[in-house]
Amino acid sequence: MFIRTPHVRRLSSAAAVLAAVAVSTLFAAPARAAGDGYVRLAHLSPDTPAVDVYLRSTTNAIKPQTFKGVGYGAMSDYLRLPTGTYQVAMRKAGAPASTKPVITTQVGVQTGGAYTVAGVGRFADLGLRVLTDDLKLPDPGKSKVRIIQASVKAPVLNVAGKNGKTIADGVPFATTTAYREVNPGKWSVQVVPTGGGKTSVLPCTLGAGSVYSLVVLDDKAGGLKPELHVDAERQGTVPLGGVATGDGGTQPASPMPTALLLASLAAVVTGGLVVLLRRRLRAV
Amino acid sequence: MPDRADAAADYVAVGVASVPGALSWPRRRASVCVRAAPVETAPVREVFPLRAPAPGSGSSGTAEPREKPDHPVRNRGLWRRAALPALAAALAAFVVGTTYVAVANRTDRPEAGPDLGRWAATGQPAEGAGTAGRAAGDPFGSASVDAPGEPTRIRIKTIGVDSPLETLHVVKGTLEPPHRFDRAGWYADGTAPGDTGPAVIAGHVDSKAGPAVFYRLRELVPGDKLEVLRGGTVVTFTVTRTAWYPKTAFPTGAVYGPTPDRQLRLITCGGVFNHALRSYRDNLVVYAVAG
Repeated sequence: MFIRTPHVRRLSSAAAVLAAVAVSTLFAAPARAAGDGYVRLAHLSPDTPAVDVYLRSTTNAIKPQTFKGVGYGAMSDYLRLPTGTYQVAMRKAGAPASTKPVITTQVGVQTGGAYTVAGVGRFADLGLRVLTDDLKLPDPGKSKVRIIQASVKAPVLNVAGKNGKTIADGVPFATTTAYREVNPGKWSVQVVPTGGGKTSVLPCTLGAGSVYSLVVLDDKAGGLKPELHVDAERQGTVPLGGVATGDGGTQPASPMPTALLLASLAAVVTGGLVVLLRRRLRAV
Repeated sequence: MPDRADAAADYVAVGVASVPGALSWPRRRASVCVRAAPVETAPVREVFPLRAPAPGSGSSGTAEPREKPDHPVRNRGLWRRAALPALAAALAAFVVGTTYVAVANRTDRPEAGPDLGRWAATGQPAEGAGTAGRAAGDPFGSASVDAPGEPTRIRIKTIGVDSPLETLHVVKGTLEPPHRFDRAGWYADGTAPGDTGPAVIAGHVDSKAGPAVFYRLRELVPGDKLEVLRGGTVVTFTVTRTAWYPKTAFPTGAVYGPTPDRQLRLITCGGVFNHALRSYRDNLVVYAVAG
């Protein structure tokens, strides 16, 4: 009654604003800092000349970046980027940034996600493709490998170990296989064009728990050039569970023993008192 | 005649066992004799008021049936006598015990808040967890140079850590903790800090005596820098995030899984301390990336 309604309204709106500010400061900052993902860029179009690759965030999360003179077969390291949407554009090498790009695409980066943005196909139908890279830990004692087929000279090819273990069969040009778990160790990877042609052999060592992409490129001499890229790496066995790193010296001692002692003392004293009291009363 | 016999039997029984038998009903008549055992008359009448009057045949069989009802009644008296003290004792025990626990917990709380130490002095932590700095080098054609030699030391200025490193191994499937409480240790069978992959450095949060090397690890926030010495070169890492996990649900993939860049995880204990197992319930994991 003493507070008039306009005051109440003003007060409540002020409270609402305060709450909104509190909520936004509490949750906004961690949300921005929390998420990071990975993006790498590649040029996998055999007959496309070198390009300049432009990377910019649609929300200005990073400064725009330009990578000059990226030629066929080049694949960058992963760039660690805050979550959000990014635009990737390719222009002819040396073309001013103001000109219209040859191709563009967008990639949405999620927390912990990894993406390969690659120019693929022939120059005539050049496209920017976003590949999702699964960098998760493979099953214990396994490696993960996939094939990125960027050879137009061998439009379809098979990939296998020299011992006959198949990695992928019938992979067409400009496609990427899913990751496949294989045994780690020394491999002689054979890349065989199904349409006939020279087989290429790539000796390599795969580490347990690591993730690889085998990129098959056209060789300048007319053959195939397989290249192994490490997508994600680790060493050693994977320990199970957490680590026992504390003996509790900074924790308060458990109150239970003392509490129990005190409780039993209290029980004895009180019980005794009641008995005594009753005897006294009865005696009187 | 039978009445008299009953009365006599009653007299004896009352005198001996202080408890009535099957023949309590005629007792009124026997009150003459009750003088000898006056104390226990009252309960007698009260306990078996509905007992049918004994037939004449009773006299011979009385002694036996009388013995049986003896104990329950006596016990019941005992129970009744013990009930009040027991109840009072239990109540007192409960009140005293819970009060002590409550008081102990309350007095412990303010002391056990070490988290303020850092915020009191410094302002806002730096932001932008190592994202900007990494893009400096050209990611195309960059041959990542691995630092030589074993990691020997970890330094975290913001929380005052400067410790030599032990080597840790996997024992019975799990990562062993450092042997010394004042030293951190690195998982020497895994990725070395500064190489591509998830390097791991573990340290104790406390010993039985008090705080240990990673006691203040919980104060780290994204953006904080830490340094690992490797063969004379310093590898700098930036904290990207921190997370608490119950040891029973430890995210093996996130902590030990492969990474595309040079990363480091710092691990220590925290959360509720289980006094019976002498073990903390949780692990604190600090994720950091080189740069």
